[in-house]
This record gives sequence, C-alpha cells and structure tokens, in this order.
Amino acid sequence: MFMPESIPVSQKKVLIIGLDCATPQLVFDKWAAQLPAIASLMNRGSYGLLRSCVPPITVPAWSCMMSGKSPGTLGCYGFRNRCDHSYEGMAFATSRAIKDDRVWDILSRADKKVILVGVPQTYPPTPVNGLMVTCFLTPDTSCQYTYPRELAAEIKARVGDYMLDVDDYRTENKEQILSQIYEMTEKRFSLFKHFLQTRPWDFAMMVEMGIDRMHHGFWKYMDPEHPKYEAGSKFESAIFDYYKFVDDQIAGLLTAVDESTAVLIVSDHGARTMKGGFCINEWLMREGYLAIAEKPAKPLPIGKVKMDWPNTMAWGEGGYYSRLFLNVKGREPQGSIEPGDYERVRTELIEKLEATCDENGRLIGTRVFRPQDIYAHINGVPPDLIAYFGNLAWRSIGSIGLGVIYTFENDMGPDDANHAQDGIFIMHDPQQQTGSPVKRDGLNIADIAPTVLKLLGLAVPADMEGKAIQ
Amino acid sequence: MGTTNIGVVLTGMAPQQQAEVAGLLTAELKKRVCGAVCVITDLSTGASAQEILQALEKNGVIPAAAGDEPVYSAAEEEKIRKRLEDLGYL
Repeated sequence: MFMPESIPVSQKKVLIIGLDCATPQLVFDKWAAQLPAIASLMNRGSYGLLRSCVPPITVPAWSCMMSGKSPGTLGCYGFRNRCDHSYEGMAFATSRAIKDDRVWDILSRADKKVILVGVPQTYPPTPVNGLMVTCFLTPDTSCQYTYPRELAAEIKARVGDYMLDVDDYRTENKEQILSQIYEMTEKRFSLFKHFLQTRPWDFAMMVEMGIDRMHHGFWKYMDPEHPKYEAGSKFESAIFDYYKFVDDQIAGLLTAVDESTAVLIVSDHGARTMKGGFCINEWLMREGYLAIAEKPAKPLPIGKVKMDWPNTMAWGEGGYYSRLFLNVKGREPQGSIEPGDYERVRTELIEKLEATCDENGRLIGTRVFRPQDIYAHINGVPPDLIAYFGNLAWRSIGSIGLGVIYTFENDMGPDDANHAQDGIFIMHDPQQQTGSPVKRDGLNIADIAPTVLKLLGLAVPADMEGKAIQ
Repeated sequence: MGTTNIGVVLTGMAPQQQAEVAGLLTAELKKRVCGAVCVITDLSTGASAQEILQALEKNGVIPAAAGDEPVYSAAEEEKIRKRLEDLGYL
C-alpha cells in the first residue's frame, strides 16, 4: 500500500457525495469504464456493495447512514410514521423525527466545520457549526431552508431559484422531467462546489436526488427485462447519459479538494426493474383480513375509505415496500385480534404473503420481516410487518377499490423502477492509496457514520450500530 | 447543540436575578446556536429571558426553538404528501 506524506488528523477532511439510488449493477458492472471520475476513485481506493437498511428507502436510509443506527433505534420506519395506535395518526418524518445524533451534530460539538446540502431529513434546518441547505421535504424555498437563514440570499444570487426537487413528476412529458432533473443537479453541484471553495470545512456532504428520479422515470427505456421496455426509444440512453453528466459534476467537485480529503461516494439503496404493483389491501380483503363498510366507487387511499374496523385484522400501506399493521384489541381503537392471537396472526400473514404467486401462478419471492427480528432496538410505533413484494420487484399499492391483486398500471402515473437492497460504497483516501481497486464485502449503511468519525480522528460513540470501515 | 461560545452580559437588575436570567439564556442558546453569540442587554425594562429569546428570534439572530408546534401548515403538509405520492414513496 502506497502511503503519501502523512497529513495530521487535525487537518484531515471528509467529503461525501451522496447519490440517492445509485445502483451497483450500473456503476460497478455496466458503466464503470465510462464514468472516469468515479472510476478514478474506485481504482485508487476501495468499493463495494453497501447493504441498506430495511426498508431501503430514502427516509429512513440516509439518517441510518449518518447516525450509524437502524430504523428501529431511530424509531423511523418510512416517510410517514404512526404517532400512536390510532388509525389516522401518521406524521411525516422530518428532521425533528430524528432524536439521535447524526454525524454533523457530533462534529459540530467537536468544533469541526460542516457543509450539508440536500441531505434527506434535514428540514426544518437545525443549527450546525457551518451551514445546511435542507432537502426535498422542504415545502418550497419561501420556507426557511437554510442554516443560517441568511444563506438563502447567497444561494439565490449564486444559482437563481434553487430546486429542492422536480415538480409534476407523474407526467408523460419526459422531456420536461429530464430538463428539470438536469437543472436541479447542475445547480446543486455548482452550489456545493461554491461552498467547498468559499467556506472553511472539515466535513462536507451533499445528496443528489436526480439518479433516483431518473431510475423511476426512465428505466423501462433502458432495460429489456422491463415489462414495458420500449426498444429503440429516444430515451434509451437517458439514464446512461445522466450518469455521465453526474460523473462530470463529480470531476468538477474533485478539483476543489486536496490530498487531505478522503472522498466517499455512497448511495442509500439501489434500483431494479419494477414488474408491477401488488394491491396489498385488496389481497387482505380477499384473504379475509380486511373489511370495508362501503365499497368505493373508484380506487381510494385507505384513509378515505369507510372501513369496517371491528372486522378488520390488518391493513397495509402503499409505496416501494409495504408496512402492515395489525388491528389488536386494547391497542387499536377498534381492535379485532385478541392479544393472545397476535403472533399467530402475524405468522400466518408472513406465511401467506411469502407464498403469493404472480398472475401466472409463479412464486414471486416475497419477503416479510418482523421488526423484532431485524432491529436491535425498537422505538416509536413500528409496523407489525414489513413486506417486500417479489423481493422489491413489485411495489405496494395501498388503494382500495381496484378489484385486482396485481396491477400493471400505476394509478399515480408512470413508475419504471423499484428500490433494491444494495447501494454503492466508494472511498478514496489519499492517505491510504491502494494502487489497485480493493473490493470490500459486508459493508452496511450504518458503517458510514463511524467511518467518518474515525477518519476525522473522533471517537465512535458506543451506541452506534455500524463499524468504521478500515 | 454546540461548541458555542456564548457571552451574556446583563445590566440593570439585581445580581441574583441577572444570574438567573443569564443561566436560562445560556442554556437555551446552547441548544439553538453553533458558533459565537454575545448578548448584551439592559434588563432595567424588566425583560425576561423568554422575551430576550423572542427578540433574538424575531431579528433572525437565532433560530426558533424546536417545540411541539407542527413543522408544516395544512397547505404545506398537503404539498409534501402530494410530492411524496408523485415520487412513489407513499
């Protein structure tokens, strides 16, 4: 291993480039040779699959990464979480949902300067020893989306209207989506580079959402395995072109860092082709676990359906995965399952869901998890079960009134890709030149926070569940 | 939060009361601010620690406390719900 002139740990810096949904089969396997900036970091450092949390979803995954803890410990299981055991009490998981330290909290206390741009679950902004630009959970830029507040004026002057995310995502006007994604990405990278060059910093992190938006919007044009693959589409190379654009942006950022900086490129989960939607509540109805008082005239979210709660044992949420909740006597307001039957019903549901077949009678490989089996700690109000339909080949449709179990039309509009369990990890530390790429195994999303602390010479708190990557 | 350097200089009140207000202010500022803050206030007007904090908030010197108030207004919550639904998360 080549060791250049040693940099005192007090002068060391860490830069994290977060690419939401960047997926290993494209970055490592298919296009590595055509993404020179990313490849240069891999070739001089190490890389590997980064196993995400369960569920592998933006929220809670980035907070797991930056706290070194699981969703169970954080008490955060998705974008919306139950506040209590009522049927209506769901709250959005904003920054306030995270009570544990994330890396920037620890670094701020240690007098390290931080720069944060676009990291999910940072709205509303919290004070840091440096600056913060919040994420797409910010309603719009008329809200306070920066810390300190006056930073917003500098952003406006620098990049014009800062884009938190793309608008009107569910449209067939793909040109419009592409244009927005490119503009959003260019502005975010440009702003981040500006901060790197104009602020003192020890730790800097940005998260770009564009890759996720590209996967969900354009995967079917790229992947012959997709049920709606369109050979020869003018968008066939849209995802590849965008990855190259991101690689160029990364190359630009790397000109702003020196030999004292360890650079990490990470993603919170990967992506895979989406075969269709599994209508969880329709399935629960068919199997006798869910009852409605009135059939809706058109498909409606469960919250808008007149439910027959006393005759309902379970219901589920829609999304890229599903959370299932059991209706337990003494726990839910109109519970129907005797507490003594809780485990029996839960086990029965797991067995039935894992035995589900597609419309042609073939097993789809559904996986169902009990929170107690996958998390060391459980805080907040967890789901009773977490389900990956077809191991995430199928999304969960929560609406009631579709009258089918499988759907190939998303009532929300086009969506081509689902999430996959493994994201990417790439690290280049000039102080630890490897000479040739080192492939690492067994990396976990919770390992990133302790790795950052260790690189910066700080002690890793004992309650972090991840381990520093050496 | 904070490696914060906080200076609180109070005048115009009995020393014991000054110490009490300074203690409250310092504790709250430590939670809300990173960096250096120096508060110099004449308390002869009878301003409480809470009123001083409100004045600092109003002038954008410190962020609002993260209390139990909702993060989103009803319209903002609907906007976020729609965005997340459109993006496929819900």
